[in-house]
Amino acid sequence: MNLYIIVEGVAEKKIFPSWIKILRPELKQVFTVSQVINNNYLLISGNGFPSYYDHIENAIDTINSTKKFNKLIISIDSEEQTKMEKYEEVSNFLLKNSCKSDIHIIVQHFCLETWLLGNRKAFNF
Amino acid sequence: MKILSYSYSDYPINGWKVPIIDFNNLNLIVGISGAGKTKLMDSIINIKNVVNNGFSNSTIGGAWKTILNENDKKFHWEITVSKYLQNKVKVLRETLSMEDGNSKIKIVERDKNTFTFNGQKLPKLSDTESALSLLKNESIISDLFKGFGHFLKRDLSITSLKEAATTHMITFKEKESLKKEKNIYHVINIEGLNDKLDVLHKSFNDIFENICHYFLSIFPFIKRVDIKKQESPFGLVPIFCIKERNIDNWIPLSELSSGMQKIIFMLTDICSLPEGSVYFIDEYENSLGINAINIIPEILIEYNNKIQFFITSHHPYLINNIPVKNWYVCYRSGQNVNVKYGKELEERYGPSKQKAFINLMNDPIYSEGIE
Repeated sequence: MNLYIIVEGVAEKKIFPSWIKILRPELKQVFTVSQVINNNYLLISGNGFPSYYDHIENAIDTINSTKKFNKLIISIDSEEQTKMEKYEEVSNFLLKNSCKSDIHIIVQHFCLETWLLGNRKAFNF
Repeated sequence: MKILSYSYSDYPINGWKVPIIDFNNLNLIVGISGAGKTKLMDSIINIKNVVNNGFSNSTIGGAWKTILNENDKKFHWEITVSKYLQNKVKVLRETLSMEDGNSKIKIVERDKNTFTFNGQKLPKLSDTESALSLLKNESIISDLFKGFGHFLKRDLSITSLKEAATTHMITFKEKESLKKEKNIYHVINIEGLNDKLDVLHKSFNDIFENICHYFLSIFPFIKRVDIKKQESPFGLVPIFCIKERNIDNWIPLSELSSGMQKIIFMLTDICSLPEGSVYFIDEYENSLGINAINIIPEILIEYNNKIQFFITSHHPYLINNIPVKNWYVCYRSGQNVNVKYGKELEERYGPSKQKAFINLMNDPIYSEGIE
């Protein structure tokens, strides 16, 4: 099982690997597509830069051309939208971009940082 | 001149080390803040100071090893400079050789006690000057010495831009002589931007037109540019002026925004630098709008056959638009500045369809650039 994970910001780059280590310890993080073999995950962050949909589109292109990934996980902030609105927005975008792997959308409502403020024990820096 | 290969160490002075790096014509140095980009660039610029300007208070000590290409000849030049208290600088060791097929011809060999040139022992010469400067009139060295004169790094701070936009350093007589000689190698040394653009306008009109072409394409609201004469305490002086759409008055260079001044300054340098020059640009994107930032990669790619460029940048547009093979990712372990070559990253990022900048941002070589 190989995962391609798209996240928006910098905080996710720290938090997701920590969570994955606990939840799916068999998965090992790699940093380039060429390092993906088996039970790996590649986490690509937009580092807070805009063009989030470009990153998703380019991830799908990579998945379709390399056939190395079983699942695309998209983690996105809802920000001023409701959780459902954001989910539908991303789903509609994905309808126009056919992906050969399964896709899972995680809407962070409003953003990852609000989760952390509400769940102080969720992550301890 | 082209710098083919370079290394620097100021050990034991401060402990900085830059390993041997092979350079291209176009060199984009990237890395997180503090990774050593500017340190690397400044140490390269310093060799120009060592050779051309003699040793001054700003000269840094250390050991440099370089391979340089001048007029299709490959030179190996190494120099160790020591800086003592009270900023006294001395050459401890220096060698210069030229590649000849598979062998090397020794030209200069020098240490604290002996100094040989083409195998001949020389009398004691100043140890506060490099051999390239001391022997600059020797035919085998003169082009190499002159080559260092064509290294250029601009201070693009607002103060320097203001100074360049208002200074008139050359006299009428000097200007007439420059116009008459039509020697582009002399244009590099004109400090004031108005004077430089005036000489280019009069004597190198194709270059002037090229500068204006790029400038107008970046700022389409400008209708015309021209060189006007203005009264000054020194008499009539040339002033680069623009005329914007819907504004009747000519606007002088000194009144332009700092971003516009920066662009005209860089365009003038790049378009007028003679073949074989080496141009350094440190984070050019600061204070520039998107319109101005986006044209620079195109210009760098167009001119890199003529000029060797060293650029540092954090800007996604520039990084995405300079081929990955031309990147040098700086990372630092203590005082050891290292680089990862773009040609290695090309393979590493190969199958990814993400933009080059995104691949770079997510690469620990970049994001964990300081140990």
